[in-house]
Amino acid sequence: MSACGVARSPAPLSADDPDGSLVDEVVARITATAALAARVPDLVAMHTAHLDALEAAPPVPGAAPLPQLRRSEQQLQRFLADAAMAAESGGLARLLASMSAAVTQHLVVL
Amino acid sequence: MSDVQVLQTALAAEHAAVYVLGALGGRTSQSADPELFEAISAAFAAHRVRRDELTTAITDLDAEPVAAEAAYDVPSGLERAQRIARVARETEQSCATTYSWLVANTVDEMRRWAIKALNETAVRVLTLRGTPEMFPGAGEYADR
Repeated sequence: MSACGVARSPAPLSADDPDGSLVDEVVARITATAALAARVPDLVAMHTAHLDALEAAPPVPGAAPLPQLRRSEQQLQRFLADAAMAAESGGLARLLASMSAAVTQHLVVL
Repeated sequence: MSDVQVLQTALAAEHAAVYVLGALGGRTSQSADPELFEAISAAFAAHRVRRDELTTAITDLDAEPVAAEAAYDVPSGLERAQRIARVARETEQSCATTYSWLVANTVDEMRRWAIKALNETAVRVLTLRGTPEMFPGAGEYADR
């Protein structure tokens, strides 16, 4: 075993979907946040990757002042963590928790 | 996999992380690389806390927490700070994978614990000279 590591495979996202409305809400929140991030290409790339993982369309980035963008990203991070708690599917919970951690990382360097 | 087995797997991983980070701290010069020393010391302390929390959670389920192994593999070539930082970073990234797996396999308070641990370990990757990732702990999504 490596440090803090075990061999594992991810739990699959569920196809028949008790989380459908949750995913719709997550997509809407990411898309809205990305619409403020055009001045930070790394953030746009992250949001685009997250939407792609949810099989959603890429965002249309717009620009907002940095303080507003930071607030919006902080709200998105908390929303994603809460959504991970709410997800019925373990695989979706894992994906959403990872997204929340990605936003946390990007906020550190924003 | 039962709740106890899931937590035991995470605890075994924490034992390994504590060991490796302790070894890395011992190879890091506090005077020559104070920032790296501080980052590794903070990571070591954080994983000891996580280890103890998992131990308590398992005990609360009336199970015997898995013990640490006598020793774990520590990579060689730790003469340079850059290499030490990389191994520490890889340890945190491996922990992120463990925590995200824990998120998938738990509910309620234990899932909340795992989400918080995942977010915190992702930040520690940055303190160890890392850069932001698209999917901490779930890198297969970045490779799609």
